[in-house]
Amino acid sequence: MSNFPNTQTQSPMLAFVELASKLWINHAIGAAAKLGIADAMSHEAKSVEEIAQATETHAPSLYRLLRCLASVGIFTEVESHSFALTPMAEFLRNDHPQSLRHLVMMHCQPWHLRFTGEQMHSVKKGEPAVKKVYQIDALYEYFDRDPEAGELFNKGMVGLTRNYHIPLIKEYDFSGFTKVVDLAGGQGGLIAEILKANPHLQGVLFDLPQAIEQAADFLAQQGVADRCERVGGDMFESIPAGADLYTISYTIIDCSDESAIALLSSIRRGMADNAKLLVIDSIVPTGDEFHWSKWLDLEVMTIGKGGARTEAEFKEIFEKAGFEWVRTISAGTPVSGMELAPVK
Amino acid sequence: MTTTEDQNVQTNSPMKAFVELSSGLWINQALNVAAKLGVADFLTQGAKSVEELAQATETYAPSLYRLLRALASVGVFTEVEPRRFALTPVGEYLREDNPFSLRYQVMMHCSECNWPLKGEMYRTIQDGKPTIQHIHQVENYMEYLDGHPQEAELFFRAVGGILKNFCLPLLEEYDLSGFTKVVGAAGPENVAIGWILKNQPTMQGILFGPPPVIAEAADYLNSEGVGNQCETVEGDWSTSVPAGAGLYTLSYTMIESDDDAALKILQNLRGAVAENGKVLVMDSVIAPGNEHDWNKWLDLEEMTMGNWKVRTQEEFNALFEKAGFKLTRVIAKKGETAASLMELVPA
Repeated sequence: MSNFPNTQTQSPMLAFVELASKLWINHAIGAAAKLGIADAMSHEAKSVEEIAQATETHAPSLYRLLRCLASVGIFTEVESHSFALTPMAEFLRNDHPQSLRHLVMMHCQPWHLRFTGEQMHSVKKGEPAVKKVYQIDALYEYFDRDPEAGELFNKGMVGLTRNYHIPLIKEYDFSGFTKVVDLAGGQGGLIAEILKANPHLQGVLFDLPQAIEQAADFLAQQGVADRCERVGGDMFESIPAGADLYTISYTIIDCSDESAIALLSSIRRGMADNAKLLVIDSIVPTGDEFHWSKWLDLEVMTIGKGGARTEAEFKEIFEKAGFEWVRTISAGTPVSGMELAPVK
Repeated sequence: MTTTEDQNVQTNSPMKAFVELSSGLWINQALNVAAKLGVADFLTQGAKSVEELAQATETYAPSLYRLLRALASVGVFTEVEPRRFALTPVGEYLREDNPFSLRYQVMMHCSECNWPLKGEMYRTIQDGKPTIQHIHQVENYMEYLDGHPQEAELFFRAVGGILKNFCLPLLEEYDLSGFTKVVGAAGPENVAIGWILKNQPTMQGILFGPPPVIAEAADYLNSEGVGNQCETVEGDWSTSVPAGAGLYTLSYTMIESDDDAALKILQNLRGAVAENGKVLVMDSVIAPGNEHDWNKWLDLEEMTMGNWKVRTQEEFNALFEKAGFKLTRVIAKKGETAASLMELVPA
């Protein structure tokens, strides 16, 4: 079983009580993120009054919030009413390259709470809660009517996947490849990291035409624009030919089995027989083990038709699409890299 | 208390630990859905397949499977063989028919009022005003409950379950022999007084409180078979308290009082208690330092729902002293209950 809740040091009753109030922790982190608390702090202790002044907050209430977060390792109370940053608190900072500030802010937004609060609907009817709440089939449709929400969602996802991608890229051997195409690459977060870590590689960012439009600045800022082409298109129709490696990250999870097989088959058709496909996604372990993907799966269940998959479930769709699963790369994060080769 | 979160940091990278803590909403909501569906009540006779459970709870089996798999990963259920689930000691608290059920606790935390409200917690950090004042223009949760009877029902059931779990292990440690009469607050203390009278058949009790809760208190005492040992008296603790008893209990009343209100109640108690009498205050006490303590989080709940708070031992001591009491003993059972029992005598 997972490392939490701990029933060795506390009764099952207290373990239940903790699980039943997990949302308080989530929202406390959300409040700290929204108010920019971590940006007003440093590794040297600062008094609550100082932090309150810098963030325009109410010092006694801020103290109560910081005391809580310090008890789970975000911040530390160095001396009475003086707090400093911890390694976990770094992720709350806005200017940190691996910031998760927007991710947690997104979780606590009213529009997000509306459908997560309707998880019951998904369990009862087997359809996404966003259908009940917003009369849509998938969350991304909501962003058409609330672009600000869409922007926050994207920032949150970029922050999260950067944390997942960087260790994985370190583990994966890119030396035998010359050209990599990132499919459904969005703003270019993954391809930029791959190209930065592998100066010998040429890259292609592939996504819907409107998505790659916005990526130009980001790629330039990352210093890889000269090695990265941007190509617009629909990956269910066709993909850019001529690369020896294709990557696709956190996309299969949003697909039903049917559309995952359609997508993978389209990729298979578009790639050379000796090219590889690296699917980056969470693999749900079997049994009672704690794994973040089991919880992500519930979020996915409320926002669309997709789902997080077990190894057996991945194997089945890979086979149906004409792929052989060659090996799996993991890097101590909740995502894995699944290397696939076309069945010849 | 070493828990969960401490361990998380020890066995996880800071990034993974951060992401997990930032996903607490999902865990909390999943537990709520299981509570609402009553899944645990269908598992009392042993493990069942997802299909059987889906039929019993009128849910969609593939989605129910995903819910149960996730909850099994935090010890609420266990997947005994593929797609068959059983209850665990933690999951027992989801059962409606468990006398110590906490089913309503999680439902209250995810209620119509609470679920969206917590997302606005930052407002309280900005100006110190309870979040509920911003959202519902009421003074506190109690006032909100006056206008929302369904939520009120949920709240009273939830708090009843919590107090039973938190207070009874403390009372078990306390020697009640030698007392002849006990006075408690109707509502929150029904359970404590009921338990005391059952265990001390020669003792007499008074449950004291406002009219709406008095009737329920009487029903509860009868259902526990101690109705003949206990009187119910209408009144308000902040104006006067029935005098002359040897023992008074005050469970989780301080937490929902600001310092002025808490002092008033304690002063009234001081005036009422016999010279050689005792007052037992059962409440959450916040641990010092960076230690993980659920009571710190409960304090955030109090902060958002009213001008309420969880106190440190020092803060309690200052109130007791001002009201003319001396703290003579503290009983705490770490890992077993989040509450402490504080014994007071007139100074």
